[in-house]
Amino acid sequence: MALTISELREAVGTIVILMMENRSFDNILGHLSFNGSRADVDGVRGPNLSVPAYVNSANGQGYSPFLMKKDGDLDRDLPHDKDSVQKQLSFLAASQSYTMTGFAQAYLDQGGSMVADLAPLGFLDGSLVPVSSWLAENFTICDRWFSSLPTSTHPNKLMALAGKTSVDDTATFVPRQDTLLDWLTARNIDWRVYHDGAFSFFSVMPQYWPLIVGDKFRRFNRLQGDLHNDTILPKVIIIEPAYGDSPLEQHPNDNHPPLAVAFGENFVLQVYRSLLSAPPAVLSRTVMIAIHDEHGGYWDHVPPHPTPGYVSLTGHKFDTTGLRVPAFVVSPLVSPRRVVHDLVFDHTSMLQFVAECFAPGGGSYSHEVDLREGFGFSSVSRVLDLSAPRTMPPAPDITVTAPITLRQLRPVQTDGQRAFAHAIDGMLSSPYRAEMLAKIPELYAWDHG
Amino acid sequence: MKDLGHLPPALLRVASAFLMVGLAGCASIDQFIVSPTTVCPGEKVNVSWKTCGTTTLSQVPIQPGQSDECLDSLPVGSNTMSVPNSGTVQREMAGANVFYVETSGWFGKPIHQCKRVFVNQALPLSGIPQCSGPRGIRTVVSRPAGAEWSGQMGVGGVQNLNQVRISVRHDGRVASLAPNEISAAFRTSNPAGEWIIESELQGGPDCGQAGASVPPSLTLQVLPLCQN
Repeated sequence: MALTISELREAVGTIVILMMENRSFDNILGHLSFNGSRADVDGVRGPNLSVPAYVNSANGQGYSPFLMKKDGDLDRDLPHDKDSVQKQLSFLAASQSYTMTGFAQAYLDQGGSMVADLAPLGFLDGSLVPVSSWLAENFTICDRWFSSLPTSTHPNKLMALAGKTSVDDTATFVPRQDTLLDWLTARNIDWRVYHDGAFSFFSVMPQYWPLIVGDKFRRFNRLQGDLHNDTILPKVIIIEPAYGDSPLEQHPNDNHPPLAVAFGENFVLQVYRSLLSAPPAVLSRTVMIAIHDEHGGYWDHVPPHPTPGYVSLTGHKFDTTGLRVPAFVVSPLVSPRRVVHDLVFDHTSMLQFVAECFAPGGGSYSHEVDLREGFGFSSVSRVLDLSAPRTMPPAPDITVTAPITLRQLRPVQTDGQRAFAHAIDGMLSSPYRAEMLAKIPELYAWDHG
Repeated sequence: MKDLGHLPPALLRVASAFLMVGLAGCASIDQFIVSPTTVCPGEKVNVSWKTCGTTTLSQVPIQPGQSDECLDSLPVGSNTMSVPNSGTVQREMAGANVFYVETSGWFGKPIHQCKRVFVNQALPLSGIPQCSGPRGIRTVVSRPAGAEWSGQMGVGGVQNLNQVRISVRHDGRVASLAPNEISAAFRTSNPAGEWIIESELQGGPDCGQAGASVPPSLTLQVLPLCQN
């Protein structure tokens, strides 16, 4: 069912965007089809995982995907920079196609542990991702949602939040560029960011520091109360987990390897519980899109979607998307236990949706997003299939047991960590220092560290 | 070594304190080698490491069918011992084990690495096929001599794990195998050296053309044979 724009604007009052980090579709949701219970989902097919389509060749050895039955921190992050992703996609000249069998080689080339069950080839047992599994059972998932670009966090987050990117790989410094926040502000559309950890992703963009010290950026623990008490909600709400890349984060829950996934599962459950606290009239017009920014180095068996000739703001050519990521549409306006397979999405599908719902006088989000639409990416509005909102199911009584981790202030080693460290240094030497320290007490640890 | 006796004792104390802090503060695994990684029951493997930081070495037995993924949390009862920053130990292998080295400094999270030893079991050989002609594909997989398989390990059988017929050449022998077929054609041969796996396209466009039905990998299971 495709809604007209006027029907859509009547049906949708608030869009909630939740973006987790670094997991492929197969890593989180591949288990759904593995045991045959969800044959409609294009996940991992079992029981034999040593089939040519799945086997990754590395240094003369064959490595097969495996069902992860234990949740724990990995020994390291997985490679997912621009060059590593090309290796993972494994272009096969003999068939002129991407085979998705280079994950083992990319991992071992960067010093990964030499065992039979290589970390990037693991896909999680349903018992380890009970919240994601529950959402898939009670709402709609998209099994053709690709991260926008075959590269790492920053470019993909910028594609999601701006429809364009001024960096091709995660960088210490993100150049000034306008994003969804500017688009909404310019159109007088209310928005808010809730971040669970000390920092929002927008912290790495100094242009947003004046806003970060203001009331539009709030800690996640205020969300439930705000939803319950506010009569008018912002039209766009961005929810961010606590980032493992932040050197000041004691309790990350963003799913970014090497972190175990249990913390993220608990966080997503908290988000869902918070949503339910909204008044029924508000909740019935709310659509939450929960995705991951990119695959994070984890195997996925579906080749990327072609985007021939697509060029980023830096001039880099990206002829395909990145890999599939788990994508949930959680709303009273979607059917339970449904998978959207015939439509293709990337992160800019959210921006199409925002413009359809809220752009004053109609019109698209931007010509960059129009360009992505030209590659075949649909708006999230195409996922909404109920003409009348249904009752949202109560939050499940799930307790996700997280492995015990003792996390100290982390060293600054990766580009993602350096970006946050650079931002922290900048904040503390900026005119916003006092306000930042007052709003983000964690900064004292850095200031006096 | 340069004589530092002329320096004031206070300065020496400060310098040595800085040195100790520096050494204790680091955490890195510079080298971690387990060799060979595929052995017969009762054979020994060498485990050597070079690290910076407080280091432990653990040995975790892996039961058949059990995953060996390298996670933070070691099973209860793992054999863990504190070790110096470099060393080599020899261990006799009765069954599959994962060796796990972990090092931690004063700051940050401990880091670790895992290496598995297979006993009388091997990972399959696998390579990415290239065109060997308009209708032919082939891959060449080279096994390092002795580095991964012990001297006692020979070839028992081979099994074609592909969904197409393949021909295999190795150690001066040739065999043609149907899908899933197990062959003794390479029995008692040395696993080291080149394994050439070839196949032909069944239909569709020629090799190198878009849409050619080329499998992503050509994979051969080599079943080991322990020869005393």
